[in-house]
Amino acid sequence: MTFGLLKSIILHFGILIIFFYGAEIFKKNKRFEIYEIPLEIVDVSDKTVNKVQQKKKVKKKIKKTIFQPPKPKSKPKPPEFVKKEEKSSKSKKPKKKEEVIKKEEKDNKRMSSILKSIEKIKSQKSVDDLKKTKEEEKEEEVKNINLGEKLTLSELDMIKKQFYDCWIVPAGAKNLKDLVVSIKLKLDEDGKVVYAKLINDKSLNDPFFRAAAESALRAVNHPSCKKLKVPQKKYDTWKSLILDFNPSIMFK
Amino acid sequence: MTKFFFLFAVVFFPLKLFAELRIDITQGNTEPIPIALLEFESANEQEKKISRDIDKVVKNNLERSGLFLILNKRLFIDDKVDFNKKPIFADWKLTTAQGLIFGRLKLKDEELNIEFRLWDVLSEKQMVAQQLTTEKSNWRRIAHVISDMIYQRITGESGYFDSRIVYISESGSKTNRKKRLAIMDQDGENHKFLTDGSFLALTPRFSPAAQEVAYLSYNSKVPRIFLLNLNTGVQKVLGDFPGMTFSPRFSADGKKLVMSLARNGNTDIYEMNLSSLKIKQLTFYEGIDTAPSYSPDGKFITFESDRSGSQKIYVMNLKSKKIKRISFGNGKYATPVWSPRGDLIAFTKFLGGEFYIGVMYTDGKGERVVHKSYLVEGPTWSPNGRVLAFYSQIKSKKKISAPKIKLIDLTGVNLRELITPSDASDPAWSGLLP
Repeated sequence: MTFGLLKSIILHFGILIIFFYGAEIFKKNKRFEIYEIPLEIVDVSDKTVNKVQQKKKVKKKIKKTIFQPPKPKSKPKPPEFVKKEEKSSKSKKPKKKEEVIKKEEKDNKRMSSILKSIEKIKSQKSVDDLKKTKEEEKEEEVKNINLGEKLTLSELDMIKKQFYDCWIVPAGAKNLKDLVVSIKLKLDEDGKVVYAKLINDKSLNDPFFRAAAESALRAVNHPSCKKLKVPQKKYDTWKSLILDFNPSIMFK
Repeated sequence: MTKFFFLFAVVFFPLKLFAELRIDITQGNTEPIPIALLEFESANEQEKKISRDIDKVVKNNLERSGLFLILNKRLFIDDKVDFNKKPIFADWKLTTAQGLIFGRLKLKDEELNIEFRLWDVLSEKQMVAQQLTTEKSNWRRIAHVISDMIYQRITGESGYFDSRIVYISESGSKTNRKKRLAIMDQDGENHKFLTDGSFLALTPRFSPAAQEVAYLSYNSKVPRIFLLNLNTGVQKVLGDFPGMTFSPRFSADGKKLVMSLARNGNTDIYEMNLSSLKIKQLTFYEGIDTAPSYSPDGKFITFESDRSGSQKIYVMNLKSKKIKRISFGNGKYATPVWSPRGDLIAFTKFLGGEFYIGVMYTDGKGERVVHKSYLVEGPTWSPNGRVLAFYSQIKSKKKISAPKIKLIDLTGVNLRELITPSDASDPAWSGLLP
């Protein structure tokens, strides 16, 4: 009895070992197959199934987009301003309006007057909308400015370049590194310099510094730099400026 | 609690809200400053002539500096400005002038009285208001002094127009070359010969402190250094130096000379006390140390030496006697000259068959060439250290030109030739006239 049980256990155990061993090999083979197959599937699908599906999808999309325009073709030719209306109102006001227009075909005068009035209202609306959008934009700008809108690099360069022409550099002066002159500018909304003051005026006893400072002041008072080209939307950013005139970099 | 809140607010409040936009202006232009120069107001023909002459000299000086452009008088809306009133700046701005010079001139009993003003047109501020009185014959010097005042006020640097240049005037054939000592104003006017050409005069050097010129002479075929007083015309021999290889240079106070002497085949640098005429050896190298030049404070000398194998420039601390090499570029460096304002050393360099005049900072950094030619030699600084004079020869189509004196500013842009009656070499620039 026990021997039989032992036999059956050994037998079952052996079968299990063979199964697992065989299964391991089988798994390995499977893995190889799995790795190869997806690559093939992808290639084939691109050429065949997917494309067909895509085409179908595209067609569907086209149908959707193309489907709408033929409708107006069946309608009577409207006056020019109606066309405009339709174009502008297509997205907003659909079929109901068109049906109303159809019904009113008989009384052209009435229709035109109504349309005119509609147009007026619409134009008013559009003007109002425009105003609103402008106001919104302004509000957005103000919000942006309040948040501290910075000048872009090209805008900064634009300001710098204007002074390149106006500033005659104190070339050949001694100790150019010490001749950095800082000038505070206040500008009105048009970019006109309304105030210019030397900030670091402690070294004015040094004749070299005084000459450099005067050359920088002449630059900001130069007729070509008296009114600067500046991005007007960013007035809050540039209404008060500090310019550091540094001649040493030019002669490095 | 409120204190805590205040502290909190101060520490954490965004300071950036107060920050102003700061822009670095690192580029400008090096164009000359446009100046409107009006002829000084005068009452009669004699005064008018002097006024016209002064106008011409001032215009010439300022323009030659390369820093100023004197505007054509045709541009002016009004050619007269009331001396006691503010100019109408709007009118002058239209002419593009940034500076306006006008004045008045009176001649009474051969005494010349000049008043002039310089206005900053763009800032609408007066920069200079001066009155000058002199003898009528000094009108040219007065013109130089006015030029210096304008130059100084606008650039911050002292001027150099009221100064002179001494040089060697050369004439005759190659085999019978006459070399005479000559002097002229920095603009080439008032030319005079100081020696008659009967003996060879070489390498003159101006004393920066006095109107004295030291030069090497081969009178009686013996090389000797003479010291010539330009005011009195008296000259004295400083000593016989058989091995003299290069002319001496004065210290800034004019009390000492530094020179190189060749003794027993070895050239070293020596210093001479001009009051005691005693000589002290400064370098002790078994090669060639030559062409010494004092720093303006007299604490250092710069010289050329071949101690590193080829000709390079060195600086010596006269107190510690420490020597430091400052030139490391390719080529042979020679004749270093310390700028009177102390920041730069000018030199000549020979590289690739051409000569260069260059400048470098006293530590050897920032070397740059200001001029090159077939031959450029003998750089000398203007009294303010802004302009270099030297002599040069140009080679074109296998022909070598005669030596001429040229001036160039530190930017290396403004090159001008000084017109001399004959060939010219070895210039030496004086300090400002007393």
